[in-house]
Amino acid sequence: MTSDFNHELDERMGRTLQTWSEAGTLPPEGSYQLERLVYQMSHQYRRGRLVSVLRGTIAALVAYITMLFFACPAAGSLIPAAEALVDRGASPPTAALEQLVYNPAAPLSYSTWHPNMKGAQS
Amino acid sequence: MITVDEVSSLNEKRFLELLHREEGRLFRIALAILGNDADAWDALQQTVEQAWGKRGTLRGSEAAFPAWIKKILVNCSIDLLHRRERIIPVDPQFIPVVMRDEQSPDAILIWQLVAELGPEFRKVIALRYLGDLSLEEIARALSIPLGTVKSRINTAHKRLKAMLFENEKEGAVQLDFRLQP
Repeated sequence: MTSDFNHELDERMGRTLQTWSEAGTLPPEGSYQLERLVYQMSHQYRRGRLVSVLRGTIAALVAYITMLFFACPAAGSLIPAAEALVDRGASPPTAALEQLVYNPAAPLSYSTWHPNMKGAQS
Repeated sequence: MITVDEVSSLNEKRFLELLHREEGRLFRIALAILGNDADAWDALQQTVEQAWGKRGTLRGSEAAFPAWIKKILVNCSIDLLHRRERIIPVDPQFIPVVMRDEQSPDAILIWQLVAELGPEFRKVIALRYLGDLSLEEIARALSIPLGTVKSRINTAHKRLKAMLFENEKEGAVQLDFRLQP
């Protein structure tokens, strides 16, 4: 009986306080301030997004221009041919390795890197 | 074609629509937990900030908005409670504040009861009945033993029972306006 009454009181308190909270309203200036806060945050969010997009675009452009410059033969390309490396005194295996790294699509002859075969072809 | 800006402003408008429906209730819950208008307002603003930041997690389920934002509010209020507890004493004008424009005799009775019992009881009652926290969660949130939470709820029930009994005997709700400015 007591526990039933406590349960009823518990429910009554819960119901009453829920109804009390649901009847609450903010004064118009409070509502307006919350609205302004949301618009401010929205504005900051958009600005932040624009700045990050701009930064990304600028970084991509700089990277693209740098790559173009390094790959351009007229500007003294940094991508050397294997033969040129050998002529510059690099050991043939190193030259072949560098050729592979810089241009893996290019065919690599055995004689390019094997010291004993270098003279056999010519 | 909808641009990113249009989608964003649509979200903003929808967010505000949902918020305006809940703001009064949220303010009262914060007021009940924190005990004064200024702190309740701070908690509500923090809640809106956090909810706006996390709004992406609510996509496609707007029906969950009231419970979702209430959870954020209760957490913000508990955080604020811990920060304020050491600095500002609980507002003695709390009861008149929550009772202003109040029409429900039951609500008046409960807030009168809370006024009699003190702020420690108010926090437990607000978190239990408005914040929907379990007794264990209340104990954790207020850093008090579970037994204390249970005993405070129990005391509140006993006092409410006595007050209801007295009111039924007198046939009317007697209001105590001593604290009203």
